Amino acid sequence: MAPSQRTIAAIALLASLVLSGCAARRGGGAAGPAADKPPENALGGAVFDPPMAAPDFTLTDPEGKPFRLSEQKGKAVLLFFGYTTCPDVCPTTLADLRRVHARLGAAAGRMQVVFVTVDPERDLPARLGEYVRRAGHESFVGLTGARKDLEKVWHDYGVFVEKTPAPESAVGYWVTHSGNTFLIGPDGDLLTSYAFGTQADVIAADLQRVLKN
Amino acid sequence: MAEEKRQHGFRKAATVLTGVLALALAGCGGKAAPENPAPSTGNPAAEQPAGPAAEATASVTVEGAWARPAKTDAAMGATSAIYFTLRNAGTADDALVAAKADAVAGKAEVHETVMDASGAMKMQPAPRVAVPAGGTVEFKPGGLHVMLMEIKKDLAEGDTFQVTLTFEKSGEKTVDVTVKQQPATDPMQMEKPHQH
Repeated sequence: MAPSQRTIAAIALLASLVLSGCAARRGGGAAGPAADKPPENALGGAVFDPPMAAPDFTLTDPEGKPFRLSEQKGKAVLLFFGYTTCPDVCPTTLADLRRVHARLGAAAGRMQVVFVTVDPERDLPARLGEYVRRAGHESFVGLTGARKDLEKVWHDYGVFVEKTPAPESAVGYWVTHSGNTFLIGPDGDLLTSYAFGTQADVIAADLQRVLKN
Repeated sequence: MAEEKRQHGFRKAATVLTGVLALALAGCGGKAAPENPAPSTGNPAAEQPAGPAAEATASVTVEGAWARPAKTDAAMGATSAIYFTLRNAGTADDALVAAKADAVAGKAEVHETVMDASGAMKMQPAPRVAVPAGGTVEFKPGGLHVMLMEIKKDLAEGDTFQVTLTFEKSGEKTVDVTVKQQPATDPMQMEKPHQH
């Protein structure tokens, strides 16, 4: 029984609100390591409780071939939304995920990072692939597609995407977008959502737990 | 204290935003630059005022500059970002007002990443970044950075190029930038309570 996509969007939004609240508290400088530690067996990030089937999608990979999320079952998928003209947030997240990959050792083969563009007009498949591999890892995949197909994926995951004109800047426009990363378990369930800046250690520990089950 | 704790990896937008607001406020009283931009002797200590009656001067140094690798794209353009630490050893407030790296990029702009209440990541221009007297300002992933646009040549790990930063009082500072992947954050450092 698939839960309504509206529910997922609402939960994802709630999750990011909760997370940004956490960030603000931690930003106060009071939190120590203990405060960040989730209770035993709990995942980090904003957990989907109970987990729900991750909304499926088929988009285009850097080689121009279709990539279907539901065909990744058996792997833990880390799903992030971004764009190649983004010089800071997106490469920072990809660098964090590269660190997660390195920390997993042999289990890294069962981890798939999926980067879905929020800027299909500029992010042609080859450019997207090169960027994701360079800032992340060879095994990471960058996906694009028709704008209407992408809009459905953004909506299904509650991802905020807004083109912001930047007339004063050579870049032309920014794409303001949600900075969180979703974890989808090996059975295709949407498990949790990590706020931008979540430490690689937290994500790596979750992946180890999820892949062991 | 001798050195402010660097907040490597501490990328909470809230902190960055708060810091920038504080710095921006600190910079509000700034008057027009006096006629003594710091001479470029490379020795800021020697340029400190001799006595209490001496006029306040700013002396900003740029430390640890690095940039992300990038690949040119004739059709769509390519971008990179430069990060560094600004340290003002002087007694007057200063501010970063421009950046250029003509050898590698058609345009360079100072930007800041901020997270809004919904968790969305937003880029905004930072045309004037205050560097208070005796203070440091970190340009780091997820916060302040110099965005390079219209990348003219591939930037590969290990490459170096020059960036010129323009300060209201310290004038132009040209430093070497090393191209490298984002360094790992140091969890030990991150978990330490901040010093105030």
